[in-house]
Amino acid sequence: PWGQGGVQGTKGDPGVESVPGFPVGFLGVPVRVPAIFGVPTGNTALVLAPPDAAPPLLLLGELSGEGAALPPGVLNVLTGPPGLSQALRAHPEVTSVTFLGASQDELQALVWGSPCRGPRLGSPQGGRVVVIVLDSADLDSAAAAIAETTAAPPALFPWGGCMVLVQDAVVAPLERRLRARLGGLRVGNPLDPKTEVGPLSPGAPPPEGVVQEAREEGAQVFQPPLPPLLPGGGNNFYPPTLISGVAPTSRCLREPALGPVLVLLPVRGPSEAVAVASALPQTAAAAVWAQDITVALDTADRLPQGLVWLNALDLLDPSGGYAGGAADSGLDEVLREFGCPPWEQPPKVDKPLSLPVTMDDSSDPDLAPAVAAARGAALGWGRLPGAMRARVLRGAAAALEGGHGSPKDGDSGDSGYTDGHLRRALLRWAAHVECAGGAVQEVPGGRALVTRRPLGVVGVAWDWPRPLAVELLLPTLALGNCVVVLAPPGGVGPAQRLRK
Amino acid sequence: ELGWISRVYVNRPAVVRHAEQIKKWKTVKGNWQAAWLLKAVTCIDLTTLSGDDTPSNVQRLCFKAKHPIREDLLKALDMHDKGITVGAVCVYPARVSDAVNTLKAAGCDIPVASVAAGFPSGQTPLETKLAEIKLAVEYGAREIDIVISRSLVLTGQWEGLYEEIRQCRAACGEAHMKTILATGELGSLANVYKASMIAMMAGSDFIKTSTGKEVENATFPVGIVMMRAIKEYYWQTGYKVVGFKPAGGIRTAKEAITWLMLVKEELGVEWLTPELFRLGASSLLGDIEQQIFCHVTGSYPRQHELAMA
Repeated sequence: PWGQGGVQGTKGDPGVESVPGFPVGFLGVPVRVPAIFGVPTGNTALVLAPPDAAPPLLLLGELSGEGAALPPGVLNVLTGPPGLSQALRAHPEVTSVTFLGASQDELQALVWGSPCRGPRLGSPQGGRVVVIVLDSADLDSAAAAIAETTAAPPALFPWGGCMVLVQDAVVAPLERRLRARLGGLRVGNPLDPKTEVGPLSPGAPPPEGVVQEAREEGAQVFQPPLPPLLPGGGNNFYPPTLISGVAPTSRCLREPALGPVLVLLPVRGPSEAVAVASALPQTAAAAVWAQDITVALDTADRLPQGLVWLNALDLLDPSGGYAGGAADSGLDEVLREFGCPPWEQPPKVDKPLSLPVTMDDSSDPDLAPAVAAARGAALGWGRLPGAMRARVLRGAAAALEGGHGSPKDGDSGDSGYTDGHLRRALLRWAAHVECAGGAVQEVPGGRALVTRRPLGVVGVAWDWPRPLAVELLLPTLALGNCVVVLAPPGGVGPAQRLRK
Repeated sequence: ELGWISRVYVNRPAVVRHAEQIKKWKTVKGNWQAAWLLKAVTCIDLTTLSGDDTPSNVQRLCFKAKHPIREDLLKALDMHDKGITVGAVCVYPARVSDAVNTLKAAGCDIPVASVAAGFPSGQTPLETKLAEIKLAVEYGAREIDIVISRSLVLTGQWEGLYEEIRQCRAACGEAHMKTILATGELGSLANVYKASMIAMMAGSDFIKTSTGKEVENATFPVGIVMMRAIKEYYWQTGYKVVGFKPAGGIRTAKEAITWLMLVKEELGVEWLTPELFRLGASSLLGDIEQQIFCHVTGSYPRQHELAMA
C-alpha cells in the first residue's frame, strides 16, 4: 500500500523508503521483514535495525548486492541507535517511513517533530494479536491455531504471544485444550525442523518479570517444564505460558511480553469482547472464532483493528493489503486511491515556507468545542451507508447551485475555488462514494474483505497560499469523517460555503 | 446425553488447513523409521473383504498374519523374538470359521475380526444385523466391525442411532466392537463428530472411519475430527478410552507413519498400542515389508523375494 504510492500518486520516481526498526521481539524460526513488501512495487528500501535484532536483518541485506538476487542498492540494512531514525526522517531523499514495533512516545516524537512536507508516514506496524473465541466456535481448531501462533508468531506481528478473549460459556473447555496443546509444543534448537518454539530474541527482556507479576496478582500460570537438553544451556529459552485470571489492568495485558506468553480473559459476550479489545493497547490484528456467521461478521465489523481474521490466524493477503496497527492506517492511502494527491511535491515558492503548523495553542477557545461537536457527529455520519452520504452530498451540490446570490463562475475569490468547482467536486465524490463499498480479494486460504472505514474526526490545516487542502475536505467528508478545519485567514472561503 | 452433541461446531477450512500442515511433517529416518514401521505392523488389521474370498486365500492371509515380516529381516533388526504379528485378521462372516481354524492350527493367538451388520452399506433391517453379529461371534470372531445406518445420521435421528448401536453392542456379548462410521457418506465434519460421540456413548470399543468401499475413505481431516471426539469423550467421562481405526486408502508406509504421528499429536502416546489403534489395510503390509527390506539390505526387493499375503 504505501509502496504503491510511489507508482500511483506521487510524481517522479518511486522514492527511497526507510524502515527504522525497534526490537522486533520474539523471533520465531522464520523471520520475514515487512519492508520487503515495498521492494517488489518498485521502491528501494533502507532498513534501520537496532544492534540486538540485527543479525537476521543483515542476512536479509545480503539479498541485494553484486550477483545477488536483487540489484545492488535496492535493499540496504543499517544498524544503529534509534536516534538515527531522526536523521532518516529529515533526509530529503526519503519518500516514506514506516515503523515496526515503535512504542507510543517514540512515535509521537517522530510524527510531531516533523514538517508537514517530508516523507510520507506509514502507520506503525507490529503489535499483538487479539483472539476472540465465542461460544459457537470450533474450540479444537481455535486452540490448535492459537497454540501455533504462540509458538511461532505471525511474521507481520512478531511481538510474541497473544491475548485470548473467551466467552464465559466456553472458557473451561478452551483452557483445557490450550493447556493440552501448549504442553505438547516442542521447545528446542531453532534450526531443527521439528522444533516449534525457538529461543527468545537476543537483547529482549525475558517475560519472566511480567509473568511473575501476574503470579503475584493471583493469576493462574500454566507452564510446562522445559525439556532437559537445550542448546546453550537453556538460558535463552522460555516455556510456552498460559496466564488466566487477570484483568485488563494487569501488566501482562498492558504491555507486550516478548515471548511465547498467552493471556486468557473471559468476557460475557461479543459486545463486551469488542469493548475490551478496543481498550487493549498496541494491538495490531484480531481474530474472531465463531461458526455463527452473523455474530462473526458483526463482531469483526465493530473491532477497531485494521486486520481481522475470521476462524483463522495468520492468513496473509499477498497483495499487501494488510492494515496492521489501529485504524490510523493512512488517510493518505485512501485518498491516493481516489486519485487525490495530498503529498505531491510542494510548489516552488519564492519565500521560504513558514514554520510548520504547531498545536501548542490547543487551549484555543474555539478548538475544543469544535472538536467535541465533530466527535459527537462522527459516529452517526460514519455509520451511514455510502449511498446515504452520497445523497447528502448531492443535496449540498443542489443547494450550492441555488446559490445565495452566488457570484458567477468568473469570480474565483482569492482561494481559486468557485462554486462551480465545488459543485462538480461534490457530484464527483458522491458518485465515488456510492460504489466505494470495498472489495473482495482471493487470499491463499480464503477470501479477504477489504472495507473502508472512516477515521472519525479529521483535522485539516494548511498554511500555503494555495488551498490544496480544500481538495482534502470533500473526500474526507464523503468517506464518512467529520472535519475540523483550521484555515489561515483568506483560505476560509470555500470551506465556509461548504459548511453552509 | 444429547446435550453433548447439541453444541458441536467444526470449522472445516481450519481442520483442512491443519491437515495440510501435517502432510508436511518430516518423517523419521533410519532406525527410528524401522521402529515406527514395526509398531505400525503390530497395529494392522490384515483385511480381505472381496466377493471372491475362499478358504484358500483366507488361509494364506492367516499365515501372513502370523509372520508379517520375513524372519531374517526381523533377525537383522534383533526383533525376531518379540512376537511381531499383526493386530487382527479381518474377514467376512462366512469366512470367519476358516480363519479361526487356520490360526488355531498354526498355534497363533491373533484375534479374528468379522465385519457385520450389513457390511458395507448397512441398509438391512436391524433384526438381520443382530442375527449376523450373533452368528459371527458364534463362529469364533473375537472382534466385530459393525456398520451404522447412515440414513439415521443424515436425518438427524440421534436417539435411533444410539439405540441401534446399543443393541449391536449387546449382541456382540464378549466380543470387542468397532463401529464403522462410513465418514465419506456422512455429509459434514460436524456430523462425523456427532456420530462419533453417539457411537462412543452407546458402548463402542473402537470407532472406525470407513468401510474401505466408499469413494472417500480415511483422510486426515476426518481422522482429526474423530480423534478430537475421542479426546473430548475421555475428558467428559474421566476414564473411558476408545480406540481409533482409520481404514481404506492407506497404502504406503509413509502414510502409516504419518497416521501414527497424528495419533501421537492429537491423542497422546497412550493411544499408540494395538489395544487402542488399528490400521485397516491389506496392501500396506507389503509396502512396509519392502521398506524394512530396504532398511536392512540397502536395496529394494524383487517381487518374488517377499511372501505374498
